[in-house]
Amino acid sequence: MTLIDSGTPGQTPAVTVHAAEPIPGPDGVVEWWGPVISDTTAIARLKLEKDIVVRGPERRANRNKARELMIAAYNGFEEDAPHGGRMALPHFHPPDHDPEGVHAFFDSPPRHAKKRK
Amino acid sequence: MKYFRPELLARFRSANDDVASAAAVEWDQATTNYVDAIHTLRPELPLSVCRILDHFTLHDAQVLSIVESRRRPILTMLLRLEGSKKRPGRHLQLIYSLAERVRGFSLKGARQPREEWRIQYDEFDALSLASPKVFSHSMLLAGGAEMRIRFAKLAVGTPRRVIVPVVEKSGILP
Repeated sequence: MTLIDSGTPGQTPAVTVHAAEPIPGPDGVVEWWGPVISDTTAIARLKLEKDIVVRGPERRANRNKARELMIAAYNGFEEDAPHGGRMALPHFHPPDHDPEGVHAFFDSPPRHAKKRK
Repeated sequence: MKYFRPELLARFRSANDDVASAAAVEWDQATTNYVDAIHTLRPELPLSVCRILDHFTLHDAQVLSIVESRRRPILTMLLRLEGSKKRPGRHLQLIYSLAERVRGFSLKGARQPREEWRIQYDEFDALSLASPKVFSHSMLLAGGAEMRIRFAKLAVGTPRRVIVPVVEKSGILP
């Protein structure tokens, strides 16, 4: 489990990692689905050139976890800010975008991934 | 770039969490400002620009070629939108009728390695709404260079198939 208890002051707030996918189009919506996945599963998913999203109430913790997972999968990262859409999320790519189209997104409140219906 | 400025992006990517978090707030404000500005401009924008705004994102698109016509003030750009193994990126052909022959196209920055001809962020704007209307399309490339195109009209095509065998050796790119 990637869930970290945030009950004690000073501890890292809770983050959860999920399978995710960007929805094509200008809004930049990212959808997530399914249960929380472990770090191992998240890294394997990235290596399979699929996307993940780190969800949680604090941008800083989400960003650090997304970066950590991308480094574990590809030994590096490139960070991108959300593009023009209001729903787009910041994300990490593998170094040099190789392979292309792989994203570790993270919630950056008030920007959040959307649960797939 | 008026809204998505390179120095703001650099701060957004800072290893210092405080700097990055502050820049994220600025970036969100820039996004809101840009979306609002485009919403206000929309009745004046060419339909082709609205089509791009409504249906495509150029973020992470690869610039495959830029061709400027010799006799007519036409600039054609061929892009491949971001894709993945599962969903290959579509191609997009942008044909600009340049507003000014000499200053219609500018590129700030050194010659870019091939991998850095990737669009990070782009912005449309109106430079003059008096007749003839003049618009601009600015693009921030991955290597930090900024490209700005001043145009009067824009046509958008979605080619069925594109073959670009040796564009990096063709001398087309500046």
